[in-house]
Amino acid sequence: MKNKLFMTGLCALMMLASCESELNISGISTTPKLVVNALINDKDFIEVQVSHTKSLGSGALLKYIDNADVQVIDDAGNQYTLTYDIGAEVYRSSFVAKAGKFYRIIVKAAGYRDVDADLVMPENPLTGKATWRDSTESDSSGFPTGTLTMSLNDRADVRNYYRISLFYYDEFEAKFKELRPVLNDEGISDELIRNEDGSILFDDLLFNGEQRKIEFVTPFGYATGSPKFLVVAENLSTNYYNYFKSLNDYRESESVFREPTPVFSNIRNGVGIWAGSSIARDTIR
Amino acid sequence: MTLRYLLFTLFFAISSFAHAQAPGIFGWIKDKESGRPLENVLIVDSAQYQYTYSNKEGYFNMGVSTGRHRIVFAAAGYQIVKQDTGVYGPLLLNATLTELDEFTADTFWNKFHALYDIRMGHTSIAARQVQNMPALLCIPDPVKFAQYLPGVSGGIEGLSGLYIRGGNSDQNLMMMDGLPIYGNGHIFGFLSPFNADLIGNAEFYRGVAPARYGGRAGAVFDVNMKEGSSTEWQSNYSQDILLFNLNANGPLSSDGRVTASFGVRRSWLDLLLPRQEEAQLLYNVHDLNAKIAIRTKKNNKWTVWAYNGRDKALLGSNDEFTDSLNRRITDKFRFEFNWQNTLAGLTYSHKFNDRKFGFFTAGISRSSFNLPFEISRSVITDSSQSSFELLLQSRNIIQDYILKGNMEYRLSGTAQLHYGGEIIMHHFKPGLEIIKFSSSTSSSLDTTFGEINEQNALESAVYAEYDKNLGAGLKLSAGLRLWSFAGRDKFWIRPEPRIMLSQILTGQKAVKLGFSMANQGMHRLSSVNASLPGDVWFPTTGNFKPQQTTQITAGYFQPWRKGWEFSLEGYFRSFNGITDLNGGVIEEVNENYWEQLLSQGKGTAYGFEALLMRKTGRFNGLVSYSWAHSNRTIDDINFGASYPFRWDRRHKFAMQGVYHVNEVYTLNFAVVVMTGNAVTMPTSQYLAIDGTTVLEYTEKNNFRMPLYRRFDVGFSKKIKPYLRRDFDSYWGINIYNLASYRNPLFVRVEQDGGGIPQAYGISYFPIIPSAFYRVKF
Repeated sequence: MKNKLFMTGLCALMMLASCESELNISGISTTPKLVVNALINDKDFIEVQVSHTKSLGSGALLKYIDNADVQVIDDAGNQYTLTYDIGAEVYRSSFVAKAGKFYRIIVKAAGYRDVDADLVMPENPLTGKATWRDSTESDSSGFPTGTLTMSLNDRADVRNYYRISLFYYDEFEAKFKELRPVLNDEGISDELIRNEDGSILFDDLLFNGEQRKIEFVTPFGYATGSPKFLVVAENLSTNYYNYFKSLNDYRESESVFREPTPVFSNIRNGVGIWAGSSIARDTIR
Repeated sequence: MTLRYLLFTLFFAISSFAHAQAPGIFGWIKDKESGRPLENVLIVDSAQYQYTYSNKEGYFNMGVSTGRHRIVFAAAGYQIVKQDTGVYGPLLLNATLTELDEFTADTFWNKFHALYDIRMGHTSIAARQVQNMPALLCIPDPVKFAQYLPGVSGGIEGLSGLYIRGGNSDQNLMMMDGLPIYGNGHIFGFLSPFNADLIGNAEFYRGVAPARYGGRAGAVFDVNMKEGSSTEWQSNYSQDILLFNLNANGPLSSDGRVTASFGVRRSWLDLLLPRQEEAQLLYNVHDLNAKIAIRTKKNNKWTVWAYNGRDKALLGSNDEFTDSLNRRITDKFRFEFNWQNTLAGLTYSHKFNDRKFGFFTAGISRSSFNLPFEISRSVITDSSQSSFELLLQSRNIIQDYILKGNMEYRLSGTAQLHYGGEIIMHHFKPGLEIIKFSSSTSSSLDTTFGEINEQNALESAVYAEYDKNLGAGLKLSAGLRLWSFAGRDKFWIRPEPRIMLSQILTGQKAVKLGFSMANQGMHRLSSVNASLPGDVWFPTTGNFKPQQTTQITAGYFQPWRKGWEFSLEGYFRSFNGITDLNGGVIEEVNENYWEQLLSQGKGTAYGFEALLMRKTGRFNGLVSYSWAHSNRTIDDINFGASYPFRWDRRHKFAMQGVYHVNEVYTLNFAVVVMTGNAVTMPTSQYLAIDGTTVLEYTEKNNFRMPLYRRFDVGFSKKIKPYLRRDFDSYWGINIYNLASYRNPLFVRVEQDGGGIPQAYGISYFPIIPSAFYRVKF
């Protein structure tokens, strides 16, 4: 009887057991390529990260390349060389990109194929005056929350992609800090992307050509003293949006029932992103 | 309207041919023991090498010349019957065949079948073959039997998937009693909906299917469930570690004109668990089959049948308590997922005259997937009562209403015509989200999202097949199916030629050629690795073209000694409009239009297949080998470059055998060795804009899983009857994957502490012993 019980238990255990075995993927190898990452806007200097890919089995660390030749050419044919900032590990321009303009980046580094990419800066987003009201609702613990309202005037002739970021003013540190509000309008997009910094990305598919009000619930605790908020609305290029969407999908594609999602790249002969956004900022006091 | 008119015209215009009193034989063929009609019986005029096959009602009709003839009746697994007779006009010639015992090999049928059956890539799967096969958890399954055949890839190990000659699994026309069946079966596809103890016969076409089959661009798996015996009641009961299976069939009237067949297959472990009010956790599965056949006159028969298969998983709780404020609180929670397939049909078959026979079927096929989540709370005090209830439910439904008619007509002594048509109204309800909220203190909500996806599509077809013996061993089967599909915003109509040609060579050999085109207006949104219960079917739309497969195939066939049959086939397939996931996942279907998740493109598949098979005898089984190549080219996927199909397996070797040692012991075994399937692996890694390391995927399906190997063994023993002498009882053991090879099903890639990616293969089926008990009474 004991033997029978043991056998039954053993069979049940074996049934439940799933095991993992290491697969040899060392045979997969590729030639290292340059990685160029730059998401630029019309308010700040251009910053470009330059690094490289490495083979799967390589134990070498991924590092930023500090001796690359990084050139940006505008649509007038002006060529600018970006200089390396050791502290930030980026190549930085001394000019700011302009909305609606074309820019090409060319990166050269010893031991790698030259890479390049193009972008056209989108137009600035058309936004209305943002407002904030305190104690409009209460959270699950009964504390009062506020409502921050902003509006977008969407252009009808093109597909627009937006990113909205919110900041609150920290009086103690005397600077704006990221705010993670709750979007009070899930119907704004079929494919809303939420970044780890609290910003949201979406397209205008559901409100093309319309004025769209967007409400956020601001949590309790950010309205002490004299509250101050910063609303940053960005009009993104298609590649900019695609990059974040693919990055988001990539990070969610760990289920065995999903196909791995490659991260979007528009760098010719390399990997990475060269895309732009145009910004409208509004401060609420 | 036009199609209906065409259908009507085809049915009856052809029927208006004058019925000449040409010499010929016709009749009904039955199983001697049960009185069931026998399909696929070969009827041969041995002097003239004229032959035909019996239809689903066991009826046949064959033209012969005037004079004396020796007619041979042969069916797989049955003793042959020879009748000498003189034919001087239409002659009724009925036959009853006796089933062979398990030790006797059938040599005649196999020999003629290999030479004369014009169908290529076709296998008739007998119930006995399925029941005797070694099976995981001792649950025989006709779909898993088909996985041993060449050119068939089973997908994820353990599941009843079928990926045939490079096609997607949604391209398979799965039919039960002539009606399409959706869904992937039970226990997440582990078990097909076909109860092996109730199978009458199963026809599996992986090559060119006759024009009577359509609506899918790939293979056909046509299973007919067993009709009741007209002579006596027969039952059997079987028990394995997951399911019990009880079925019975027999006459309902004393003259055997009315017969019935019933079957129930159900999981039993949950029945042993005590029912608890406070907490519920259960998983159960069932299949119910019923079939009643009524012969009103000699030439008329009505058959009504129904099937329901369901899986249900439930997690729930019911909590009642009194809190510190003396309030009586009741909390309820219920999370369930269930899916089910339901079929119901009515077939009227009628012999119009000696040369003309018709089948007319009306039926419904429904597949649904439900995912309800319910919570509720009620609070009762001495002076007041408050409560709320919330229901969130996801549902996918596809429902077909089917009308079809098939006619058989013998034009002359050497030519036969099959013609007919079908109309299917598909009703799709994918991605429904139901939200219901009611509260004693606030307003209620009752909303359904996703109704925008709900739609109908009308699929119809008319067809004609012309079979002609051209003499000197040459036979032609030329068919044409005119297929149409009216989706939401587009109407498609396409011709589908089906041509087969066979030539018998001297020395008992035959070569055969085939060509076919097939279209498909239905697409399935499925996960990457396997078909799952939540898969969604949707119709061709303005954005999505129908899928189309064109196939050319050629083969060499030779009957060997002692009932062995050898075939070697080569094929080339091209796919248009074939679908693949473009990176999305099925969970998103409720939030998106499904067209965005799939992309369409082209594909090719080619290869050759060798099969050596014997269906009967002391030792029977099959040995198969296939060399195959299959790829896809889809603009949105893999940067538009061609990539291997996920279930592309370059080499596949399979062997399956049953050996009846004596009347008591039977041994069985199976061996499968095949190239690993293709999966997507990263090729390098790099830093993303936020400084995190990401993996670079440059090619889809760029990596081959390790070689798949498996060896199964089993035996069964006949034991002394416990209750009555005429009861046959068996018990047996199967050991799946005896060597406990770790065949990875899935791949997981992770980066170690040093950031170096490592891939792991996840396997779920080590050595698995199981046992069964079966009794026939």
